[in-house]
Amino acid sequence: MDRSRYRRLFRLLGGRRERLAAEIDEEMRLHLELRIAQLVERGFTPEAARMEALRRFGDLEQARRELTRIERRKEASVRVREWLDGLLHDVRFAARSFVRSPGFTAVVVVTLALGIGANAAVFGIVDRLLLRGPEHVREPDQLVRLYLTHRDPMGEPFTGSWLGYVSYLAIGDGSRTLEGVAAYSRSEGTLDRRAEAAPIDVGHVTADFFPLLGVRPHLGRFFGPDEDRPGAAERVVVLSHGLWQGRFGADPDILGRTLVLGDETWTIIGVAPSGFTGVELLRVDVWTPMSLRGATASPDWTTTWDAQWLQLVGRVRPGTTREQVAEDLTAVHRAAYTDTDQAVAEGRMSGAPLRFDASARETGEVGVSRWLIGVSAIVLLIACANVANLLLARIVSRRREVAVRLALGIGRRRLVRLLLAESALLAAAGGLAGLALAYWGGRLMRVTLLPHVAWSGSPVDGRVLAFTAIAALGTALLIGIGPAVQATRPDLTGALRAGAREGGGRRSRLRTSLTVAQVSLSVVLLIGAALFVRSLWNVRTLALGLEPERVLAVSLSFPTLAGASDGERELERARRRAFHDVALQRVRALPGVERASVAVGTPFRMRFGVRLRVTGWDSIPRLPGGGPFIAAVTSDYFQTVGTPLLRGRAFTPADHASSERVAVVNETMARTLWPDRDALGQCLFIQTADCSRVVGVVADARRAALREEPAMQYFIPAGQESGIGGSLLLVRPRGEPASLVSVLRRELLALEPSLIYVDVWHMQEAILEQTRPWRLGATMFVVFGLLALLVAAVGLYSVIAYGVAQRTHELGVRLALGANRGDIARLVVGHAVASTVVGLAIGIALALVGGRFLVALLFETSPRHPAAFVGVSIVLVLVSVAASLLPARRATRLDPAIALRAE
Amino acid sequence: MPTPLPLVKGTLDILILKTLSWGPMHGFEIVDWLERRSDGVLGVDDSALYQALHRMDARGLIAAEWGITGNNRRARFYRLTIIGRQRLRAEASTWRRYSAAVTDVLGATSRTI
Repeated sequence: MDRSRYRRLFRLLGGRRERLAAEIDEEMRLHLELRIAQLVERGFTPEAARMEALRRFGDLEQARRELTRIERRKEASVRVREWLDGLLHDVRFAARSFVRSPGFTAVVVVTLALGIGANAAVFGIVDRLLLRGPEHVREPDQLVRLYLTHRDPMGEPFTGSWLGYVSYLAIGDGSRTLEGVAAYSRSEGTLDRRAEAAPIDVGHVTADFFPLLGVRPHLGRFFGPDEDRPGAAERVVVLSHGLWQGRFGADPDILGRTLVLGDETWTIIGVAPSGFTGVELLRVDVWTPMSLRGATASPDWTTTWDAQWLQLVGRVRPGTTREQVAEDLTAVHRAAYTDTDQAVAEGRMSGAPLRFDASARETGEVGVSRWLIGVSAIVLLIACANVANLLLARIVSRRREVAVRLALGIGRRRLVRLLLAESALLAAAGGLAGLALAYWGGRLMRVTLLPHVAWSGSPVDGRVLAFTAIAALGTALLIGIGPAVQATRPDLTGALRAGAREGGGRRSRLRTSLTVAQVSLSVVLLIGAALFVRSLWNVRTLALGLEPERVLAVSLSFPTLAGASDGERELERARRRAFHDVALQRVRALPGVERASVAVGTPFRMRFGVRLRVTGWDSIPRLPGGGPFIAAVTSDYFQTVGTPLLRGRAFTPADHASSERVAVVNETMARTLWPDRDALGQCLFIQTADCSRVVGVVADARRAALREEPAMQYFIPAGQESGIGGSLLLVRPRGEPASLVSVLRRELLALEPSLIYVDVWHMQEAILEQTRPWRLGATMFVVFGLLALLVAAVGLYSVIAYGVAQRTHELGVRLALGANRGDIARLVVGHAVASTVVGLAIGIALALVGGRFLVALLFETSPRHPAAFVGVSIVLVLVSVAASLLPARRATRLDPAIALRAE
Repeated sequence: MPTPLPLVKGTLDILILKTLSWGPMHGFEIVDWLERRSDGVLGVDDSALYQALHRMDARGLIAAEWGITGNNRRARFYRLTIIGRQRLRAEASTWRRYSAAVTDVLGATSRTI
C-alpha cells in the first residue's frame, strides 16, 4: 500500500471535521447577526448591539465546543448504523455471489476448513498436554515435581524424580518455600479374582495429595491422615469416576461397599471427579493410601534411604522463584540425609513443572506437540495463501464489475468492506466446517496417537471454540487483505477502458509470490515428514538384539504371604518356584506355542545387579549404560526372545540348579572384560567364590529403552541364582500373539487354584510406548505435509490455469504468428516449474535452518538427510508439472481465430 | 422591558418543541418567537438553546436541514419529527397537570397562614 492512499484517507476524515465546525460557526454567526439587527432596530448603537448580542448568547466558546461534541457523536452513530446496514447488505450480496459459483466456494471452504480444522484439533491436544495441565488441579502452575540431581557412578550428573518417603517427611517438615508436599506412585493391580479379574492402574498417594491439588470428591470423601498412617493405615479406596461409571454402573449407594484389589478386600469411601488423573495425564482407576503400598515394599520404608520408588509434588508459595525453591530443598535434603552414599549426600534438589517426566525432561509428546503447533499453523498459512490467490484471481476477473461500481460512485471504502465481508463469510464457513473436522480429527488423534493419556470431555470444548473463532478471524484478515489492496489501486478505473486482458504485470507478480510461498512452506513440511518417516524407519529396523513383537510375557500373581511364619513362607516360596516349571511344561505343550522359557530378570520389566568378581580385574569397569546385569533363565531363553547366539553354546535342559555352574555373557561384556582373549572358558565369580564358566556369547540386547548405552549383561541357568527373584514366563507364539493371550490365562488358572491373576502382556507394548513420539511426529508431519502439498498443488493449478485464461489473447497472437504448440506448452509448464523451483529453493533453505531444532526429535537421522531433500524436490517438480498439464493442454488447443476475438 | 425570568430546568425542550409545532424555524426565529410569545418573561440563554437544539436533533425529536431565509441567507432550519410531536403531546399534558397541581398547592398554603 503506498502512502498517497493513506493521505487520501486522512484528508477525507479531516474534511468531515472541518465541515462540521464550519456549519456550527455559520449557524452561530447568523444568530448573532440577526440579534444585532433586532437590537439596532430597537435603538441600540451597532457597537452596543454587538456587545448585548454577545452577552445574551453567553459563553460562545463553550457553546461551540459543546455543539461540536454533540454533532460528532451524532455523526459517528449515524455512520456506525449505516456501516452495519451496509455490511449486512454486503454479506447478503457476497452470499448470493458465492451461491452462484458453488465450485469456487466449495474449494475455498474446504481449503480453509482443512487449515482451520487442523489447527483446532492440534490446539485441543496441545491445550491438554501443554497449556491446561491435569484436570481439577487448582492453579497447576504453582505445582512442581521434585527432583534430585546427583552424580552417577560414572561421575555424570543424573536427575530423577524417584525419591523416598524420608525425603517426603523431611521436605514436609523443613521446607520454607513450599506450601505443602505430597507423595504419589503408580502400580498395576488387579480388580477381582481369577477369571473375572481385570488389570487396573492404581494410584498410591499420601493423604495430603488431594488437598494439595485442591480437588474435591465427586461422591463421598478422600482419605485422611489417620487412614494413611504408616503401620496403621486402613484399606480404604477412592474410585475414579470412570471405574465407578463403568464397573459399578454409577451406583449412587457405592460408598461403604467393598471391592477386591489383589487378594484383599477394600472399603470404598469416595469417587473422584470425572477426568481427575492426579498430576500426570495417565489413567488411574483407584486411589489408595500410600502407607499400604509402602508396607508391601519393605518394612523400613519410612526410614530407609534405599527405597526410592515414589515421586513428590509440591505447591510453591506465591512469589517464590524456582531458584529459591531449589536452594531451600537442597538445604533440607542435605540436612536430612543420613545414609552413606557421598554422591546423594552432595545431591541437589529442584522443582520443575508438571509436564516434565521422571528424568526432568519434557516428554517426547510435549516436544512433538510444540512442533505440531508450528506445523498446523503452516498448513493454515498455505491454505490462506491459496484462498487469497483464488480471491485475487476472482477480483481481477471482476475488474469490470469493480470498475463499474467505482464509476457509479461507490466509495473505495465500501468496496473494501464488500471484499472483507466476502472473506469474513468464507472464513466463517471454513471455521464451521473446520470445527467438524477438528472434532473427528481430535478424536482420531486421541485414540491413535496418544491413547495412554486419560482424555475426558469432547475434543471440541469452549476453549477450542474460542480458538477456532480467533483463527477464523485471522484467516478472514489474511485472505481479505490482498484483494482489498488490489481493489483500492487507483489505476483500477483504467480497467474500464483496458478490459480484463491486461491482467499481467504487477498483479500476477503478487499471485506468483503467493504460489512460491505455498510451495516453499509445503517443502518445509514435506522435508520434516520425510525426516520423521526416516526416523520411524530407523526405530523399526533397529537391531534390538531381541524380537519383542514375537514375545509374550506372563506374570503369575499369588496371594501375599503376610501373617505366615518364616518356615511356612520359605516352603510356599519353594512351591511357587516349582510351579513355574510345571507351568513351563504345560505352556510348551500348547499347540500355539513355539518356544517358552522362565526368566528372572527380563527386558523392559526387571533387571538385577549382584556382586561380581572377575580374575584380572580389581573391580568391574563401569559402563555408561550401567550394569553388569544378571538374569537367570531356563533353556530356550535366547530362542524365545530372539537374541542371537554368537559363539559357544546356549543353556540346555542339562543346565540346572545342581549341574556345573556356567554363564553366557553378552558381546559388550566379552569385549570389555577380555579384550584380547576369548571369553569362552573364563570364570565369573557371582556372589560366591565358585567359578561360573563362560560357555557362550550372545548379541547385545536392549534392556529397557530403545536408546540406551551398551552395558554388560550375563545369564546363568535358572536355579543357580541366589538373592534375586520374581520369575516371568516368556512365550514365543507360533502365530498371532494376541490370539494366545486368553488361552495362556485360562490354562494357567486351571493349573493352580491359588493363583489370583495371570497377567499376559506383549513385549512389543513397551516398544510401542517408546516409539510413540516418532510415530506421532511421522503421522502428523506426513498428514499435514500431504495436506499442504495438495493445497499447494491446487493453488499452483489455479494460478497456471488462470494465467492461461488471462493470456488467451496473447497466446492466440503467438499461435496466429506461427508459434509451435510445443513452445506454448513449454511456456505454460515452464512458468509452473519456475515458480516451483524458486519455492523449492526457499523451502530447502528454511528446512536447513529449521532442521537444527528438529534434531532432538529425530532418531539417528540427520536433519540434512540428502534423500529427504532430493525426494521432496522430485515430488514437488512432478506435482508442478502435473498441475500445469491440464492448462497447458488447453493452451495448445486454442483456436487462434476464437482466441483473437475473445474480449 | 421586564427582566426575564430564568427558565425552570427541563422546560426548554418542551418550549422548543411547542415553538416548532408552528412550523420549521431557524435558531434565532425560535428565540425571537419565545421572547415575543412570553412578552419577554421567559429568558432563553442563546447558548443553551443551541445546545438543546443540537441535542434534540441527535435524539431524533427534531430534524435539522439547511435552507434559505426570507432574507436569502443560508440557515439551519429545525422542524418537529413525528417522535418530537408525540413527545410534545405527552410532555405538555404532564406539564399542565404538574403546574396546576403546584398552583393549587401554593393557593392552599396562602389560606391557612
